[in-house]
Amino acid sequence: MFERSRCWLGAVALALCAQVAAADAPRVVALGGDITETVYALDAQQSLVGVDSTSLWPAAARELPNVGYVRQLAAEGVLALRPNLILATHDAGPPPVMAQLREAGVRIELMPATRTPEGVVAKVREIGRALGREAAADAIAHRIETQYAELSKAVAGMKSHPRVLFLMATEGSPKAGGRETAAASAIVLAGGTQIADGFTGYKPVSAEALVALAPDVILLMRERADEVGGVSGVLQLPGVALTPAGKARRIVFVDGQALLGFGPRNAEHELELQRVFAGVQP
Amino acid sequence: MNLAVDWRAVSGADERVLEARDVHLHYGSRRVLQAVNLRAQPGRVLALIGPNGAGKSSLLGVLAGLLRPSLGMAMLDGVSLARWPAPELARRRAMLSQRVQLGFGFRAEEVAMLGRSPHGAASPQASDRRIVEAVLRATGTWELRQRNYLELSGGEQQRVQLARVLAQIWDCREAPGWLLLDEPEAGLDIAHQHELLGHARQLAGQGFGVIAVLHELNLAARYADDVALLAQGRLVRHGGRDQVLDAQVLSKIYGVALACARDGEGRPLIHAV
Amino acid sequence: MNSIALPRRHALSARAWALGGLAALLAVAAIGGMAVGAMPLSATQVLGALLRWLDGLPMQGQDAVVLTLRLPRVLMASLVGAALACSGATMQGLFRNPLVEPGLVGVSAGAALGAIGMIVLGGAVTAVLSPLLGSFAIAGAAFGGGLLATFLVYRFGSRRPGVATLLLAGVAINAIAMAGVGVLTYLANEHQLRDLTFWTLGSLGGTSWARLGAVAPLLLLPLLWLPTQARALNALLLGEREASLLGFEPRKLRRRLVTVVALATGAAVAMCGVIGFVGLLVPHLLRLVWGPDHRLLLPGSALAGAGLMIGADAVARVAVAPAELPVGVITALLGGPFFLWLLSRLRTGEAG
Repeated sequence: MFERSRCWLGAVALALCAQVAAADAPRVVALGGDITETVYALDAQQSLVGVDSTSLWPAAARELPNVGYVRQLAAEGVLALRPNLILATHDAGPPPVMAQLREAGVRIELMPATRTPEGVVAKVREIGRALGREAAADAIAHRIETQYAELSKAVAGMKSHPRVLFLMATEGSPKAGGRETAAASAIVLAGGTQIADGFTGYKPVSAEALVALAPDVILLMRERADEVGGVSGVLQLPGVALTPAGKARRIVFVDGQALLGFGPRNAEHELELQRVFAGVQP
Repeated sequence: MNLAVDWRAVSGADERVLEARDVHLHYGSRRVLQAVNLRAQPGRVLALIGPNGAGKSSLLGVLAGLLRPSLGMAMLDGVSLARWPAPELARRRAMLSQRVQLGFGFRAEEVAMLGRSPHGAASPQASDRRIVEAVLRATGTWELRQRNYLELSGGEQQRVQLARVLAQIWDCREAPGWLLLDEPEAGLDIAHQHELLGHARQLAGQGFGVIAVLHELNLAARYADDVALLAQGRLVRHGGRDQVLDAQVLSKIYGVALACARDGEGRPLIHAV
Repeated sequence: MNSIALPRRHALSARAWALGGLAALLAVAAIGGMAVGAMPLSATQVLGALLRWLDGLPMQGQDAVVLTLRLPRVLMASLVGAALACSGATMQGLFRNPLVEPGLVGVSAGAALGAIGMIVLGGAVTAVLSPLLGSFAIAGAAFGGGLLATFLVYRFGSRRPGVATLLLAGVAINAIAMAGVGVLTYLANEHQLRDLTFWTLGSLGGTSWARLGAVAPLLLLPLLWLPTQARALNALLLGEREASLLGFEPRKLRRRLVTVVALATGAAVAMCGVIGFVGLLVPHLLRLVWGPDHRLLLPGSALAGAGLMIGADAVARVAVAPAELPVGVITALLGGPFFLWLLSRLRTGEAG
């Protein structure tokens, strides 16, 4: 029974793809905000039939069928979209569902996690290859590489690297981005100093801890600016006003998806951030 | 303290007794029963009387097999109760405890049917239904049979529980069944008290053995054949009704002046002086 | 203990009718459950697929969807729902309390601790195994956690006769397990946090024949054994003393019942996360309608629980297609308001 299920899931795909084969149009499901971004950048969005819940850019992506959270997919839901290619971040899941999708014969390309310029470029090329748009991918890769080169030059020329803290304002204490977060990588790339490195992941920090960390710049996601009440709202969070960043009102809202997603738009947003950091007087 | 009077019945069925042999019961340092030797004969009603805390209910529990004595043993038909398989014992003896709590809305007849559980059938058989009808009629609860148990009055519930208990041993044929009652008169009005004990007498007349812990001395006086008087965990007196219900002894044990008159039928009538 | 009584028709030996009716409803629910989904099918297609499978004929059209995706899922839903409801009925009888649910003996909290522990701390283990086996590791840790918690509850809770201490021990172990879950939640990174949240909400996603086979015996055997204890549970309702007098052995019975319930509930929770309400609501409802006799209640709960679970899973699959809701959310959303509605329609019986 269990071995036969493999053949039968293959038959599912066969049955579904039989309807698709005639049309021969590519049907792509993109799982991951950065991957969806890349598909649009490659101008391949006509082939998209579904995205995940983190694919929020561009606005058009939100109109596509939403298969849910990338780590909690539904096999039947994804298969109902009759995809012939799934582009997913490496941690798409849950594993039993991924197994079912594979056994159904759908082509799945998993992208490794990327937090470095080389990784971003490689990912763009990977996706371009999977979609058969190598030329467009090359062009974008080139552009991004140039931007990163410019960035590292600028960072090397910085006299000082400001102390930067990434915050997520939540109920109770705000959470700070520690080691091994996308925020940490983004900060370092733009020439800042990642000061919250006593812990990993996003963890609540108390007001005293905030003051003790003494950041020169505080970053937050622009997507959450309204919730927290803009710059004045952030300044009212306990402890913020006593930090150098608070005193100088250096509260910066960054585009979370673009910067932290480490997709094609990351490079230009890192450059922007670097310019902000460069303007910080010690 | 006088020694217990051990009195034997003249009639047969000597082996089919329910007895406590040198029973001691301790809970930690508290001595509940001490050196109790008691034999109950089938076909007779035995009343256990005594002041509060004398150990009457505990003795009944030992005789029922519910409580394991610390020393000594209780025996039925010459076999220690500890060695009786539980379902078999349940088919021979039934006990109506004080304050049975049932918080679920069975119908009265279903409660009575629970008494047939030890008889093994997965589903009620025709014989079970006949017996349930008989016990419900015997306890005057036949009209209540379809009613929700929780909607009955306390006395009605008590009678339904009695029906259940009777259903357990109703068809005991090869050997005499035993009915143990723990203060059954509690919660019943005077009419039902007499009705219940009247049934107990009837059952004794049919060959069952009945042991009842009775609070009310005059009920014992009226319905018991034998009486066992306990005080502070010891069996003070055990014998025929007239022998044990002696005003002098009772006054001493209960600590209040009591006198014994006779009613129209010659039965003792105990009252405070 | 209060109980609410409905004016009942004379059930008598209509037990067969009642159970037969439930079984028929279950069959309809199963067919329906296999018809709905992100790819809607008709009942005819479903029945056709099943018949071809049973006859060994080759598949046609959408048969594969039915047979490889939906059939194992509907079977899993049936077994899980039946196991939870039947366990709930058993626990309500054992504790003589119609508000008890199977998690009271600690099995759900222990399973949660085990699963979340594996999700957050078990990185080393799951890194070594393939991702598929890794998900079995979580289920295995959950099952182990559930059994351990139940064992502890039983050890501490059975020092005295009666179920009061068992209840208290359950409360204590639940509290400890939840504290552990709290600590693990703090330690978790964002990915793990979402994973454990979803796990706690319960889901039948990813059900395959393999996963079904792993857990089916643990669910099926209790379902076959528990109804045989109906008479004993009926007697237990009178209290342990009366049950003793009626020839049952309450201590042994308690141990066996708690063990079997822990196995069944542990397996259900381990494989599918925490699915609440089914174990509490289904037996309670059936008791209100059909009375407390366990000979009807236990099999009836199993059948009704299975049907409810199939329905809840169908809603979970369809409500936000092509995504999926966690099924535990559905059971809570359906269960709570329906129960309130039912309460508002009854008249209260006298206090017991």
